[in-house]
Amino acid sequence: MGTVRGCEIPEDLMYNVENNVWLRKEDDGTVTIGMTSYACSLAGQIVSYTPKGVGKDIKKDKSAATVESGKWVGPLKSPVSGTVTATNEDVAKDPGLINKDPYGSGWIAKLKPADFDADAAELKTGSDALAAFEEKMNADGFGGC
Amino acid sequence: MQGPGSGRDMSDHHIGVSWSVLDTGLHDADHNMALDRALLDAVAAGDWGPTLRFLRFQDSALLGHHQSPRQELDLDYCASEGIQVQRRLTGGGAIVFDPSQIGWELICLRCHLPQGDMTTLSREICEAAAAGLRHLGVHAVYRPRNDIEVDGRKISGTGGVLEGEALLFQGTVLIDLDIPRMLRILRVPVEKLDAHAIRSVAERVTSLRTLLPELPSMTAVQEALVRGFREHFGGQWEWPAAVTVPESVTRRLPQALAEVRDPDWLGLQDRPQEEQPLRQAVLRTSGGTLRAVVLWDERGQRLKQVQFSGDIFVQPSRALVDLEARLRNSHIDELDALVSRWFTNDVVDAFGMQPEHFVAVLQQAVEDAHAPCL
Repeated sequence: MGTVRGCEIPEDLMYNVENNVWLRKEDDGTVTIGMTSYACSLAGQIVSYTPKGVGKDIKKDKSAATVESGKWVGPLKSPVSGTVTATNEDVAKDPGLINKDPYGSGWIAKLKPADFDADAAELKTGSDALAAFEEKMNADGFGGC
Repeated sequence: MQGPGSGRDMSDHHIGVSWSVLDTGLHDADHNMALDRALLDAVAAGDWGPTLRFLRFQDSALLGHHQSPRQELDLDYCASEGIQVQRRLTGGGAIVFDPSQIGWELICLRCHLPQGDMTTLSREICEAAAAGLRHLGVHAVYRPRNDIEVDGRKISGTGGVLEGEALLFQGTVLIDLDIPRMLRILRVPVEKLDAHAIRSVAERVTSLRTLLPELPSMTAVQEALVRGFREHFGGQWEWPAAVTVPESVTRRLPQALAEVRDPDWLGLQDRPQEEQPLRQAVLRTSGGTLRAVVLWDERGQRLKQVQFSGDIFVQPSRALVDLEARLRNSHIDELDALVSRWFTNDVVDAFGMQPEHFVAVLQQAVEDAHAPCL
């Protein structure tokens, strides 16, 4: 498990660092996406989650869900284009799961990618991701999780 | 999840920012929401700069972004009275607007404001707006998490949306307050159940008309807010306000209007009232009788609203209202920690009533069971 300024950043996942989103490619060709622990730390306790419905087509960098914390609303931007195949019913019941387990049970959406290879080329992983998050946290003036 | 980075960064890169001040006047709710969307998109795209916008609404009920119309509003009453129903881009609870109220909002990039997490940003903006209201002669201060209050009574509620680097944070200024009408529009059973409904709201909410011997003009309220933002954030804030919406915003307006008029926008969340029941309990202790009414989110296991009453005596006198504010939208698992923190940090003296009594009556209310005598 990689860590940047106290925030867990698993090195086996792929990231859109700018949008603070992670992606995991599943064996069946779908992808799972979610908020990073850094994004959770910035947001605070998440109290609402509204995903785009199953079957909806989402373009890369467009909202796959909105979340709310402390009266702030923010989109979770999908790192790839694709069709929503599942939303997280457990998170709908308890949005705080996103804070508790952002890379596990707090996942945001599952998608069938339209062109994974093309979209994934822009994502970072491993030590590249850690370095990019360090740079982003520095630019954001973020002290740590 | 507050980290060491949650405090305000004292870098002053935002201080030289030049802010446009725009008064878009009185519009219906669709138009105002579409202007929010268009302004946010224009700022995000770099087509327009940081802006303080003043806005007014025809009679409207505005839902928080994630709220369900059926759960929050008396839709039949709204339809019969011609009250427009819209969904905000921003979070928080439902609010009622009429043409006498003033809305204010900042639309800008993160770099135009002090660095920090969302809590820090809320505090910074609310403190600036509160400083502005103080220029009108009211003792307005920021109350966590997102309110501005005067002597324990809310005068401005706020909420925000953050999309990448662009944000919109908005608030209201209660100029006057028609409590019976507000109660009819909002589905506020916590108050509706109370025989002293109006007094109950009046103890928690206030307005400039209540506080000042003479009501200031809309322009005076706007000017005071501009002063507050200028003093708090520095930079240039144009005054008087412009009234012409820039072309980079108006060209985005037709699409934005189509979005907010699409039934999918208002139907984004549509849950039945039954998932949000009203629960109550009474607890008798040596310190007095404590009654709690809870608007309970069964699905999310959250206390949407809490109201305490009874023959208890608590110091400082505003402590109970503060606790209600802290508990709003809290998860049942957070109850112990939130009540303990309130009791300790606010140095509350409840004259025989202990934190566990407040927790117990709320838990009993949620379980909809009769609280035992403790």
